[in-house]
Amino acid sequence: MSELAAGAKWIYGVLTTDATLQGYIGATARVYDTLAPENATMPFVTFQYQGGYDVRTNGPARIWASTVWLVKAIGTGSTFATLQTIAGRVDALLTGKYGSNTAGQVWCVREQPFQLLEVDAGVQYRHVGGLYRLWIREA
Amino acid sequence: MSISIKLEYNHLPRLSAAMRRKASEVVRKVTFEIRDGAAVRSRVDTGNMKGGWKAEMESDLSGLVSNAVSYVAYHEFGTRNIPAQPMATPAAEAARPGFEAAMKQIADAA
Repeated sequence: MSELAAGAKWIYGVLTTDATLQGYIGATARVYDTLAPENATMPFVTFQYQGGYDVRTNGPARIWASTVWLVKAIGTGSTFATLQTIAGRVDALLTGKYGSNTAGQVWCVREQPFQLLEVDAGVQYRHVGGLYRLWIREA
Repeated sequence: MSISIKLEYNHLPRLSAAMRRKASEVVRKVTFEIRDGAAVRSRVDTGNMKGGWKAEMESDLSGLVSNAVSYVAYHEFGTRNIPAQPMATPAAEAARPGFEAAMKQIADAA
């Protein structure tokens, strides 16, 4: 199960060490795994595992896990413009990239762009990002 | 806001009628498998969302899984303060290896 740990660790590491992205979402790196803390300052970025499957040899051994992650910027406002800038930077940092950490190795491409409008008590919360395919081999 | 998953296999028009029938059976089976998988993964309060999953064949080689319940996308992808509870995505991912293997088997048998 270390593949998901490797994936989460890689996404978090990439998104919290980029100066350009920090310029958009703050130097304290408002990047959250699955759920932002209550009352977190917007905009912020969240990422979450959405699903996947194991790729095996003919036997039980796993070659890698093919996984899908939703990575998105969330903020308020009447347009998606600001969030598209953030999502564009996130995409530049993730798509076509390879990385490794103590939990495993990761290859990443975007499979679909993502956009969602959420309205709560008259306030518009916008989500922009992408569904990313991560092929992960555990260490 | 509704969500849907469209299942297509684009190289099949070249195949024979018999292969096409077999491929159609696979698409149908997997389409319903994804619907059932999404329903099983659905959060249940009233049961409206779980019961809202539909599967249909758009053509002999194209299946569609959808759910028209207005809040389904907020559960599938999460909101600013509710974590996602993915339903359709993991169901489709779970079905993918079997789908690809079945299609390969049909192609190999040709």
